[in-house]
Amino acid sequence: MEPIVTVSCLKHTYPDTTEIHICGLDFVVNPGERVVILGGNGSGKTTLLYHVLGLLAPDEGKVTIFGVNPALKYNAVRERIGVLLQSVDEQILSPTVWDDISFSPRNYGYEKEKISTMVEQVMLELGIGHLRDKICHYLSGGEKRKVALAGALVMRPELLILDEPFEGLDSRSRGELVALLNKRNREGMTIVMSTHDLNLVTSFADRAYVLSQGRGVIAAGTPAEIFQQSGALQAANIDPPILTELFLKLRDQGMSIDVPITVDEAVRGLTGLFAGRHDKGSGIPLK
Amino acid sequence: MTHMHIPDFVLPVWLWVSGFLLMTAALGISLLLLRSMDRKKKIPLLGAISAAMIVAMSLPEFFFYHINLSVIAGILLGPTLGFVAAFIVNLMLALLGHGGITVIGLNTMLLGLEAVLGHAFFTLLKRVFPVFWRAAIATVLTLFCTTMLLIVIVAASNINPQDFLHADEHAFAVQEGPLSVLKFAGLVLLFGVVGWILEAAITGAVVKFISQVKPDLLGHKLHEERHQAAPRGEHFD
Amino acid sequence: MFHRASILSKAVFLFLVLAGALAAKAPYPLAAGYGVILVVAALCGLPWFRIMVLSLYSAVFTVLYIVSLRGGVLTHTVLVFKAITPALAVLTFVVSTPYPKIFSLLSAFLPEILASGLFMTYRTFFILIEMMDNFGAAIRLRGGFSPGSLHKNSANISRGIAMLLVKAVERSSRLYAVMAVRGYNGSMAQTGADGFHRQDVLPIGTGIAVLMLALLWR
Repeated sequence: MEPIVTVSCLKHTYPDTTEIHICGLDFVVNPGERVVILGGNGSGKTTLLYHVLGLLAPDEGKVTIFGVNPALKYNAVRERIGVLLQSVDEQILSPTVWDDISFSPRNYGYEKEKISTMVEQVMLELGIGHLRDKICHYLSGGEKRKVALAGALVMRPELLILDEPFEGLDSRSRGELVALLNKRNREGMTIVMSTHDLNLVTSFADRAYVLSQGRGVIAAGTPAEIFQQSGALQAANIDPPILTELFLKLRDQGMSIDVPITVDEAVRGLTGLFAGRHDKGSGIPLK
Repeated sequence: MTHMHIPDFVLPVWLWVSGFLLMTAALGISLLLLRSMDRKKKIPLLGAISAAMIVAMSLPEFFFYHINLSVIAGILLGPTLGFVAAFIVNLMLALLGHGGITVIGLNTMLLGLEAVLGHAFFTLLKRVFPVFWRAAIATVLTLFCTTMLLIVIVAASNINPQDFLHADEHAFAVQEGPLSVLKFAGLVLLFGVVGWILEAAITGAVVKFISQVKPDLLGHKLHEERHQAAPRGEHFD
Repeated sequence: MFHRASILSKAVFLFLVLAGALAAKAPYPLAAGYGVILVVAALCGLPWFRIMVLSLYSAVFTVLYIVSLRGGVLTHTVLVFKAITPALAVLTFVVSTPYPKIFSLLSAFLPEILASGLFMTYRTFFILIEMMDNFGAAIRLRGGFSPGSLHKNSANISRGIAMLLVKAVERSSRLYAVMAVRGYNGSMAQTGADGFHRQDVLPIGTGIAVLMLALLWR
């Protein structure tokens, strides 16, 4: 199966002469995957996404999305891609919520009735039907983020790209959003998300990439594989999830225990430990 | 075509000096009218609109044309502060080589007049048209008037050809005869009409958007506060 | 070296070039003056090519104006150089001088409200440029730019500008409030300009060269 996104050895120079190199491992997204990009501030997460979206053109390296160079031919594939950028305030372009969510289908020339159905459906999914006629400008940060996400989802894109999508959302909204994204993924949507929150990786990602400032992509793999690479996480200035940190410390204390990646695995591991047995089938095996 | 910023020394000295004097007088009157304003509201508003005008002017549209938001500045800031914004914008542009230093006076008179007339037409058309058309028609009327003024300025530059076409005419094979004002007028009107329509459509859409999202910006309350005689001590500074 | 010269010397340079452009009767001395400024800019490491391109904008109005003139080629050429030489001098002045220094100089003779407005415009401008880039990206990513559709593109650009204006007023008010809380009372931290010093030879010398070319080369 052909990958949807490929990025290899990217170099970009900003006007202030800051150079970003994203070399090391290739960044590849296959159809149906949920991919998370991890990295600290300045590691190049947003730069990488902007290249994938054709908003930046690389000085060196190769970027393709749906088989085309996005810097040159983004328009050819734009209807297949939904995007939620970090600064949602600057992504909302219309006075009312309904107007804003319907922005893309109106610009793509869809029929009025079809647009109406698409907008109502996505508002229902995100639980923002009550905001329909509200002025976007006066919404709370979390509501604005949901409206912007609705604008990205309304076209039912094949690929959804999210740059730090959970900023400003409370834990309940986060949970609901993760559930919605997982549901869309089961329906076939590929999702790429950048974040510095490792706790999300366990509940969401099929695969993760770790970006480090100046070194590019330094690790890639399933969440379990990534959590084993504590050196890579340290190099990327990322704190491991609290659960992982706790079990690593317990292991350092001499406990013979696997490092879990979910709460369920942790419960199983601890129950087994206290019961005098060790469930070898779960979590990251002790090295 | 009032969006063409006149460069240095293309027009005769007496003309740009007159422009400078006129601008100084108009600015003086504006500052006098604004002396008891609420600084906390108006200085940021002045900075915001002036900066937005410069950003809008940097957006590419056509080779000869850019949006300049001068009518919007008049509608949002009122005529006096709108004129001040026109001066600030022209000064900033002149520092970027966009319009001459010596002709800041004439350029400010043109842009400032757009703010003043834009505000006047927008106010006059109240209750006649919906907000989009009010702003759009005010823009077309304003730009027509200021384009005519530009033509008058260029025509006036022909009053004293010796000042304009230099003493050493024979050395440069200058043909005798006046400037072809009609030719100039034809050119600026030809390019201008396209620009007016574009600027009118954008102004209409922007003002309509603002009326939906932040109608208080169109309410002119800011302009009326001067008459509420706020005690000096209540001013922000 | 242009960078290290005092702002006063660069203001004198600007004045001398303006005087030269005003006095010039022929295109050759002004063309030579234009070349001198460009060479000095290049030798001082200034972005000479960029400022040269920017200086040519002033030729647009001039060209439009001179097609209506009944003059010879030389008259037309002198008008073009009268426009672009001062423009190049202004740009050389601006790219070699930090903005706070320019505002300090302007604040010395501008009324306070104009100086404050100018300063707020400058501060807000950079915020808005970044914001407009983001609006542009959002419009593009959400299908708002369609090659060839002027109507659709204008309507979507209008949305971007309207949002920009609304945000500009908010940001600017917040910025002013923060400045006021931190003690801003309408005047710049530094007004006026320092005196002349040794590095001023270059800008003043360049200005004199341009003026002399205009006066002596007839």
